[in-house]
Amino acid sequence: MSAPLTVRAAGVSRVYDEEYALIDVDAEFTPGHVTALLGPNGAGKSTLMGLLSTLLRPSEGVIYFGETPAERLDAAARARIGYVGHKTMLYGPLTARENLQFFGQLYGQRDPTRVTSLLARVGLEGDADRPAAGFSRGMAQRLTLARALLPRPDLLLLDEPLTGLDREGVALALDMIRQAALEGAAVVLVSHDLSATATIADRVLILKRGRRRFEGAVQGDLVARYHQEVDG
Amino acid sequence: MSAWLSVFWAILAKDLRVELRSKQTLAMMTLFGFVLTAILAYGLVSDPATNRVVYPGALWIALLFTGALGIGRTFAQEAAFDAFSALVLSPAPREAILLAKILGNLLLILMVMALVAPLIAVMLHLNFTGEEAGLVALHLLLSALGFVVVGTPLAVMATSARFAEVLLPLVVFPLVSPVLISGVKGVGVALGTTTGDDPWSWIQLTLAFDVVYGAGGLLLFSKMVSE
Amino acid sequence: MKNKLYLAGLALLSVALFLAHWLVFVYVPTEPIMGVVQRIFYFHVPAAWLCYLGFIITFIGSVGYIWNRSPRADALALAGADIGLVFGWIVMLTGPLWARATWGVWWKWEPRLTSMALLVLIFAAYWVLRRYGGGTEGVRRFGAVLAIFGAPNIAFVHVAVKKWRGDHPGGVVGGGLDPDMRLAFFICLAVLQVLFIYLFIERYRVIRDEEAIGALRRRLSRLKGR
Repeated sequence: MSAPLTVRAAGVSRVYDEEYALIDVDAEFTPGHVTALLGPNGAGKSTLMGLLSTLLRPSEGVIYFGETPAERLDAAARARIGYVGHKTMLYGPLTARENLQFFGQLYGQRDPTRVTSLLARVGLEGDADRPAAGFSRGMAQRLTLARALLPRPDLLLLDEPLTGLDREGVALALDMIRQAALEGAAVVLVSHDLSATATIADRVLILKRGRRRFEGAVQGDLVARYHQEVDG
Repeated sequence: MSAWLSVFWAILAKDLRVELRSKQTLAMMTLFGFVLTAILAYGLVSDPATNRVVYPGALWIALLFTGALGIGRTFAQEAAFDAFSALVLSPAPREAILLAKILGNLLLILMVMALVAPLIAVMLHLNFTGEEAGLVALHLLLSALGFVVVGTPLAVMATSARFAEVLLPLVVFPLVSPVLISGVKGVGVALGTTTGDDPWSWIQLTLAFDVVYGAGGLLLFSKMVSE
Repeated sequence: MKNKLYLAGLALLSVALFLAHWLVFVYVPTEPIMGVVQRIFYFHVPAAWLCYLGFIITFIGSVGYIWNRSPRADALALAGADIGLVFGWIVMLTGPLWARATWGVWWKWEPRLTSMALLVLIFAAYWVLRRYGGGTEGVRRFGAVLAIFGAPNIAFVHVAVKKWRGDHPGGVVGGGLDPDMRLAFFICLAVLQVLFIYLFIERYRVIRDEEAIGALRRRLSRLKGR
């Protein structure tokens, strides 16, 4: 774990073809905090996650990683970002272990026990040598969480990480996310499971129709706050 | 440098492992190569002298079409669950990604052509001396290299376009035509059916193409993969 | 005022185009060896140059776009390809007519012909990509890489075909040309060059206007909060 990383969006907008998906959003994601990114469908949550991951470029505005604008990030800085997207980003024909080993190699991960311990952590030790293509959505989701956590990212972007997980899986995932934040990562969490989100988020950013409706610490009931901002 | 190499090998080994395990691209390309062989053979078979003349053309048609099928499939595994995003997001040097993909494609095409090239020769009742066969193989290797250094980066780009499977050959075939001319004429010279001094000058031309486009792709690739 | 000047210029260009045709079909003497078909060259040769010019602009615009993703550079590239392609098709239509009459065949595998044909094919692919591939940023990037890859290709094709055939006819506008023919040729060249500039500027403007309309639409949707 290197120095803590604060990520800041400054006046960020993103255009697709004719439409603004995100309009003039300011936000800050600080180390050790779990920010819940909330909003109804089409609010621009996934777009903001894509921009934070550097896979997308803002049409206007800048995203700063510490003091560095996103477009000037080098490979070493990219290595500090962990990203779980809508798709699992895995290779179906490879086994769970091979998937993690491969991504470990890309990140220069030398510790051979890391893969084994992560597999055990997400409860896949029994299925470690089965191809990921045969996994249920929940199992694949556990594996992709392990993939994102493998390089011990300083910025952890989780776009619907609880998809397909059973109750036990959700508890496990929340625990791992909390752990990452405790170790100093800035975590951004998008999830439709509001009550699960409420148990670990200490900050919240609410978007509606591409605009920021609320940003701040979670005070009181997150679910009530959300409905007040979005429906009110 | 060693980190660079280890990433390069990791990606290449991953691609080969994925391919050998699923065998889908290899199987499709080989079968397609056989179908092409049959069509070319019964379309072109004639007297022994003519067969010798048409052989290089038939061979390079097979190379182009099986190659186009191959590079189109390269990114199917990457796109299936969007693993390519994770690859681009990782600290892996972009040049290492491209080179691993190029080498992987080259191996795939060569495996198929190693079956198809002798098969077409057999179907056309041709006999080659060892030297002739060696020159054909060398030309084929360098032409295939030229094909993949152009086709691989464009296949990456094509994933963002509609009608990618039609657009890719449309774009790649004219671009590799120098390799086509050079390979067909060079083999013709080697087999004594095309007038010309020595087959080595054609090899030089293909090699120059490989170097120019290989270097160009590497220089541009980091500008290609990100928005 | 500006509008009137523009219309006057356009009228002048139309007159000049008529004049060019009159020169080609009435004024110049018939070439004694090749006969009447030689008259194709007054349009064929300038069109070949303008085709190259269009694609040079596309190449420059594409390099610019890959470098800094400037929409202006992309509009230059697209306009260059569109207009270059128009002249390219003129070359590809008129060339074989002349070849059939003079060489007895519609087509010869000759370096200049082959590289021009490949150039037109590459940029036709570019055109198809830009028209049907979708208007996303990724497609613009794809087009730019294609144009950049296309440029050295022409040199390779030229060298390859030259090596293969050895023979190629010399320049058409030699020093021994009849003075009337020479005059007609350079007037045609000048008129077509102006036509190219006119078409290119108009195309570039339309592309930029389309972008501006898109931006306005987005502004509107932004004001409405999508």
